[in-house]
Amino acid sequence: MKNNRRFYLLILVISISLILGFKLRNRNYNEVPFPGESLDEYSNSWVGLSLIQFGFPVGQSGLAGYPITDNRYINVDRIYQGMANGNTLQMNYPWFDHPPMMGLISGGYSYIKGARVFEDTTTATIRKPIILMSVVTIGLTSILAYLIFGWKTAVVSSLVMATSPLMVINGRMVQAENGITPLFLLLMICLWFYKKIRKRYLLVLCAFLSGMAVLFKLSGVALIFSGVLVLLTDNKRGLSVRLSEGLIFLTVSLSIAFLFVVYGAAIDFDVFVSVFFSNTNRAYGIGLNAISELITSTKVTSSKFLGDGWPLIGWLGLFLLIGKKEIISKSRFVWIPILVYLSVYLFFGSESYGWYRIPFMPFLMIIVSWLIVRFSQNIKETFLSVFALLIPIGINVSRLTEAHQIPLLISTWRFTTLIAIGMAIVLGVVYKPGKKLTILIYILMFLLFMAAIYTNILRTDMLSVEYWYKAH
Amino acid sequence: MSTWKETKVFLTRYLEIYILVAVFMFFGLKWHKNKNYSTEKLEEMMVSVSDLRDKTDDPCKYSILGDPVAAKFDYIKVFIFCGDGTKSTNSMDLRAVKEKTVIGALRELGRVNGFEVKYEDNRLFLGKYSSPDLKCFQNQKFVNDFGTDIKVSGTIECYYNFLPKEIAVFYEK
Repeated sequence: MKNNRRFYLLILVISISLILGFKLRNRNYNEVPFPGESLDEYSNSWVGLSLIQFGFPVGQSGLAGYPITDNRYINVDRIYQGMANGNTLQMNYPWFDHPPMMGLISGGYSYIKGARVFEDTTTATIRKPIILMSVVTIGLTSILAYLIFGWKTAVVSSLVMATSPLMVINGRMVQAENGITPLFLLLMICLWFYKKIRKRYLLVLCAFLSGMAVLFKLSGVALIFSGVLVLLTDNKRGLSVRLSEGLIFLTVSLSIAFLFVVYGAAIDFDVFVSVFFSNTNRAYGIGLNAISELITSTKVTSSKFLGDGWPLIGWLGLFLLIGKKEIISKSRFVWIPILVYLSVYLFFGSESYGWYRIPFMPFLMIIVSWLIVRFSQNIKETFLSVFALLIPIGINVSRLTEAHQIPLLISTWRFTTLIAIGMAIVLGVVYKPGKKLTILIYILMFLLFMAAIYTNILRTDMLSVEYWYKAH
Repeated sequence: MSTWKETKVFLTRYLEIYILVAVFMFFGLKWHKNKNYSTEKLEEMMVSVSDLRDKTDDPCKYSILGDPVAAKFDYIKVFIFCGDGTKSTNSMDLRAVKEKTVIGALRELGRVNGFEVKYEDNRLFLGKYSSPDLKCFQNQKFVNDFGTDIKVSGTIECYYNFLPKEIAVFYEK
């Protein structure tokens, strides 16, 4: 009975999160980030549109290795009256910078909506399917959190993913990473169920998902490595079984990924090879301080930042999570993806664009949620949960007070932090609380969490065109 | 059957099906491209103005903002002064101007900014403005024939409803 109630509560909260997440992502989605702030959004869609209409991918690149570079003014969304900064688009064809899956989704959607020429692919159209994918990502995050850590973590993760300003903005952009991320979560969910059911069709499905990720972007290879590692680290299975599962997984996933080569060969193999090697010679754009930047800054584009405390808590929590030996096996469905994608991110290292970090986010948010509910597992770890909330609240409140002078907010912040930290210290060091005090702690933590979600929503509401002009 | 034997049987069957799918995909893509692709279709896709974009008859309503730094010296500046105090200032990358004449540059500007450009019977039309009240100069020399080649790194200026002495004032500055 109790479990039924918890399950229905979980469904209710996830449904609310999905609706809330959709509404926040949908609000002025075609204006922020500015149309043209990342020309990749249009280029991805043009690749899809040109592939659908005449089987030949055309997009914007500028990489060496292309036989044809065609400089053009394509004034979609009037970018030449805004973000394009006067430079023409370097159109290359056939375009092979990346596999075409994201293009087929955004370009395909545009085609269904009547787009026939490149200028038709406005952000008002092409960002819509991405918002849908981002909302699906919210749901998948909470499902994975539920499987690994239980219903409380699932509830918290769904609300954080739905309302975090960084997730909201990232969840609109037509970037391949927004296709890789739900596949990454699906893969971990699929592997979780495979661990329980041990049916071959599930293993093949998991492998298929990871191969598909590579068809969005080559960095999707992180899913293949993650899948193999999760399978090989299942200590309940014999080595020979694990190796045979790994072989099946690798064969199926690599064969799906290889379809990119088949696609390249069908269109123009010489150019495909030339561009591939040109890609491998890209400058190491993320720099050698990439790790510290990854943890301490929250980029949206190459130059725009959006202060958001949730990823920082996730990174800090990662070390705690890996240190918890009692849950290291089940939590590997979270830390293996993070560490494997981190390796791929650092290895590829081409540019420090904010959207390259998107695949980290759901896993970091699961860790954040795990930290936030720690107090309910061990009351003496309340200070962890308190700090996990105070940092994002503090960043949100500071941004809100920059935009609007709200003295009441500052006073509330002062007293809240005093009470919260005081409570955490007392509980951690001195006192074993009785039932009434435990209930009070639960109420205070609930209020603190609600304050975090509420300030998230207020911050997201602030993200207007005027605000985005001033953001840096 | 042992695990390895089962795995081998499964992978063999899988790869047989996969190869069929890959071959079908290869020839399918080739067929689609050979049947549908042409340079004319590609050109149309790149240069066509979207119906979604607003059109205007005012050539001074929009400007191309910024400078085409990547073009280095391969640019042309185009200014349009509309006589009502408004103007359009544009720096254009000549690599994107396929017809390297004065009228070619103006046509490309009209296409990007959303106004109609016509050149008929030696009369120039930029949106709602036309010659003879509309006069254009390239590097301060009056343009009589708009089929004249563009001067790289030069300037094209068009004045609507300006008297010659008012135009002269611009050049003195």
